[in-house]
Amino acid sequence: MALLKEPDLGTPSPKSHRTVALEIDGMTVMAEQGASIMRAAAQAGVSIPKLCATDSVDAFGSCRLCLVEIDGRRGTLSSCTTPVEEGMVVHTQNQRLADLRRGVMELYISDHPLDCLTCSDNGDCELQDMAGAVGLREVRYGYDGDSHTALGKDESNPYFDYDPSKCIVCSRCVRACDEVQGTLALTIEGRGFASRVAAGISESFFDSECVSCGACVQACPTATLQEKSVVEHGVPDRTVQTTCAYCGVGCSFNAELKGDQVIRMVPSKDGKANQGHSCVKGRFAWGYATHKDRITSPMIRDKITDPWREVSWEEAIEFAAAQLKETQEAYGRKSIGAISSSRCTIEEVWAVVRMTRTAFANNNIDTCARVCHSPTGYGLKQTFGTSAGTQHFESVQDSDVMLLIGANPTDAHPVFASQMKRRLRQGAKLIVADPRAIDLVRTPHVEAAHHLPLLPGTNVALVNALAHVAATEGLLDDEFIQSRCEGDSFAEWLEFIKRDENSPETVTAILGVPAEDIRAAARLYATADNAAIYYGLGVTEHSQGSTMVMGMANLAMATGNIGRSGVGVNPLRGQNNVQGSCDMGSFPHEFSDYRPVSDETVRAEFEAAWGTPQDEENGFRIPNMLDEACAGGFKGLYVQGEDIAQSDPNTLHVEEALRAMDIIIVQDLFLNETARFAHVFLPGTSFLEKDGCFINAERRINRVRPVTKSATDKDEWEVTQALANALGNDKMNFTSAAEIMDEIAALTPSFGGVSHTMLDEKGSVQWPCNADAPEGTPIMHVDEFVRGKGHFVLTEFVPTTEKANRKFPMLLTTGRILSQYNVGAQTRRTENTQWWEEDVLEMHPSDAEVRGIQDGHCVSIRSRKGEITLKAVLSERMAPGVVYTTFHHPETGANVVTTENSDWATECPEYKVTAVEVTPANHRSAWQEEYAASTPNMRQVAASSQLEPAE
Amino acid sequence: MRELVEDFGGGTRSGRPVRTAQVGGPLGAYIPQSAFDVHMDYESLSGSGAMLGHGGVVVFNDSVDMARQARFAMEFCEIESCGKCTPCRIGSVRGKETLDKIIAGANLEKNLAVLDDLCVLMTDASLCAMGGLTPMPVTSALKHFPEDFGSARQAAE
Repeated sequence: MALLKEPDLGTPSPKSHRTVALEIDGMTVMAEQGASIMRAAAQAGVSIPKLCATDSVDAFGSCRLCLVEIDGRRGTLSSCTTPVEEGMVVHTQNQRLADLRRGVMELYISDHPLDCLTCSDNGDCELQDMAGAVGLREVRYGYDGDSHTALGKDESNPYFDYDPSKCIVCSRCVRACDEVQGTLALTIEGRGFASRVAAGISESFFDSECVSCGACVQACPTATLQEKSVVEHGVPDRTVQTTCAYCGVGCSFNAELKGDQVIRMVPSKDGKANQGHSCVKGRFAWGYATHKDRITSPMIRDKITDPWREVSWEEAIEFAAAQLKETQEAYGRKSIGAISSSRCTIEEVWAVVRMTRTAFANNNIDTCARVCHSPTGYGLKQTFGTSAGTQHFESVQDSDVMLLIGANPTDAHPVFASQMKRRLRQGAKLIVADPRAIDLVRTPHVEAAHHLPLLPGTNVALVNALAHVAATEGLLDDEFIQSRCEGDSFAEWLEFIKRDENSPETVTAILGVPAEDIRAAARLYATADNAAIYYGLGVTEHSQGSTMVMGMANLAMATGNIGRSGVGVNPLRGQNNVQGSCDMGSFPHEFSDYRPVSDETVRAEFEAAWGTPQDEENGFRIPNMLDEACAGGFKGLYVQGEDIAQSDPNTLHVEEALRAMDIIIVQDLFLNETARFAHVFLPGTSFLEKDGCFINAERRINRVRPVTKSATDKDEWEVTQALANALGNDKMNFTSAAEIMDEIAALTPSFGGVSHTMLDEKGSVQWPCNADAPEGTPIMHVDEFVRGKGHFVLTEFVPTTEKANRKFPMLLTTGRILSQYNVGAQTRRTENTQWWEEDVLEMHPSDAEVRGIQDGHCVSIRSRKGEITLKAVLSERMAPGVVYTTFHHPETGANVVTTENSDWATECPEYKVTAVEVTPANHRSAWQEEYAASTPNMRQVAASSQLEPAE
Repeated sequence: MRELVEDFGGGTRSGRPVRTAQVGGPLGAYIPQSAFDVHMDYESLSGSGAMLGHGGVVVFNDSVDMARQARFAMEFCEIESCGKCTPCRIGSVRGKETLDKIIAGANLEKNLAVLDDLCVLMTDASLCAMGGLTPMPVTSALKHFPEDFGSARQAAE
């Protein structure tokens, strides 16, 4: 489509259900009560000139272009700040107003460079538009007066420039930073004519607290804050709406192009998850899609020590199919398996799932949810009956108390964090349970009511204590429990939770948190009108991950915090489509919609649709595949867009397993860490090339549309289909992603009403979306739980076996930071590395002091599994005794140190607790040395000349 | 007011004839000596195009240059402006510059028209009374002492 200019009504919706009638320029207009005259006029098609008003931020009234006259009121009033009233008579155009508006524009232009023709915003500039709209013909002040036109640019940010000479001091950027993003990094420095936008106090944008979310750039009406890509290439001329491929928030974006070149990604205002906001990753860090490291031709090799050979698609598929068949013939049907990608679309995942269950003829299919939110799936299914979060994001605007456990939204889910912060600034209370003092504990205009810095591995003791306080202090919601939950399991749970072993006074020693703080937090949560739980991998990646999820579900049910807006139990899911890849049945024990493979009726449905017998036995989970590989029984693996060699715990074990396999097929954008051990490389497509859907953390099915042509000339599902068909058992004949969606809908009850056509019409829907819920389901379990009555589960605290002792006295926990994303395959190939060049170890200064470690020193971190060296950063955000690192850089090898300890129910690894010792170091660890020495060979691609047949 | 200035105040300190008084603060109107027969209350002063403001009265003798006083009003606004709204933030600077041109005798007719328009703009469109009242001393000086602005000024110099 042509360049989409989203309508701007000038001021935000007052979200009122009442309307008032008024007259604007002789027309009777109905408007929302509390709306501004400007908004009411815009909705009626009357456009009032404006510069400082935009509907993403509150009215400000500073530019004075939007003045109107109102009968019975003195003077001229700014229509952005004046609310509508019943019977009001407004005039937006007359000679007096025209003169005033022209006068304002004359002043603006008298202090503005006259370089429109060479300006990067030419054609996309509101100042230019307004000069035209008010009919400015001359600037009688001349151009030799005082001005800012000689001020120099701040080009420090890698993605956008700040040109103060073009600033009109409308404060839209400052207000966007305050109100939309909630970082409050920007201000107006100086006063009067000297007023100018500044990031911090005399700092450059790069050095300031700015988080590069892009809200200011989007809000700027001129070229003052401008994407570098627009400066370089000019204003884009067409738009494709799509969905971001980073985290589980699932932001909608308008990809803006010139020809077939993406110029910028602008968050869509009508994106239901992000509501026009973005973060540094989605907004700016998409350049990896055309990075020089991208592989676009299929490659094969016989041994992992051989260089890769570029081959045709046909040869690659033939080679892969032959190897897989040979392996199955030699080692049995179950000796091969697949891992589907949470980065790919549900349609692409569906193809891999179908290939495994038909062509491989087994259930050896798993996905990266195994290592992140598998306990969420298990725990919420047991208690509520469905494996997904209960709310839509919008729900947080109705929360009075938020209990945030083991999640760091400002870094890992930044756009949702901004929505949380907006609600917190309005007065909602926050409880943070996290070993680190994450940003939300104290950040401008937000301060947690309670920070409970519990020791890693003690979540269950905490949630039990919170429930204990509610149960013993009479704070349970008896009515909700009686009408909505099982009587038996509740009674049993009540007896359990009231036991003294669960009291704050007993668990205080386990948690390292004062009993009084636990009691106060519990009271705050249990007495709130609407209390919501949000959580992340700090909950799930534990030996008791599933127990903790059920503990939170118990607490929410017992206090009646389920089934309406503002409450719920909400996983902040890590990857863009991890919800979707789970929904599609990327599990060794479940078909789509979480239906067990042991269910004969379900199997029969799939057998009828796919024409192959379905295995009733559970397949291997990822850790089982790896263990079996080491044991010699699992020999072939198809890995779609996941990098287990970097992301999975105990790297040495993963590498041993990968080396033990005969055929590894990697489908990815880059020669990733797993590809070092692969025999077939099938180039994948970036999100900018995909057609299909991603499903975010709120169960929202968002469309992903091809923005550019596939760099490999194929869709990813097409490649999977070709391989499946080459193996012989299946005959997939999809000709488009839309057809795959139709098969998903036909075989997945919760998706019964979904099709690409329907999504294109509605924008997005949240599953379940079928005959019972044709518009989708924003909030689940409203009248009854999916399983009927809510089920309470006893959640006894069992300490992890991964314990600190004299040899390994500290606990390591791992996480993500804002500018990098997981294994970093994408973000490391963007300018985001300027913010985070390497993984570091955060530790408390007191722990550093006793070990003789100083800030910036190299340290060795050693666990029972392995050892790595990295730089220490001293930080009081850490609790003493706890250290923290990230796993964004493969050469660091953070997962060399982590263990295979895992959740008892789902085998989700216990990344969050590893007993370690930290000592000063002056060299790389043995693994790091070996990695640096061997990797270049393992990535070698034969020069194309060598492909020519020998004479 | 005449009673206040002449009887209680005893006229100018220098003894030179009184030419005007600014009432109500730096943004108050200049009242010419000939119009001093006015009650010092809100309604009366408002009726004669001035304001009581904070009640302060600054009396000027016949050596005052009213164009410079008008410029001073704009300069005062420039210094005091918070910078939020456009008419005050930029208008005060342009007002001062335009008065400089007028004082220098450049393009008198055009610049006086520009100044007039600017005063209307600042009065009607400023966000607060800072920018909104700045034109009051300017327009009162223009109205009562045109000889200090126009060609008569150039002739005198």
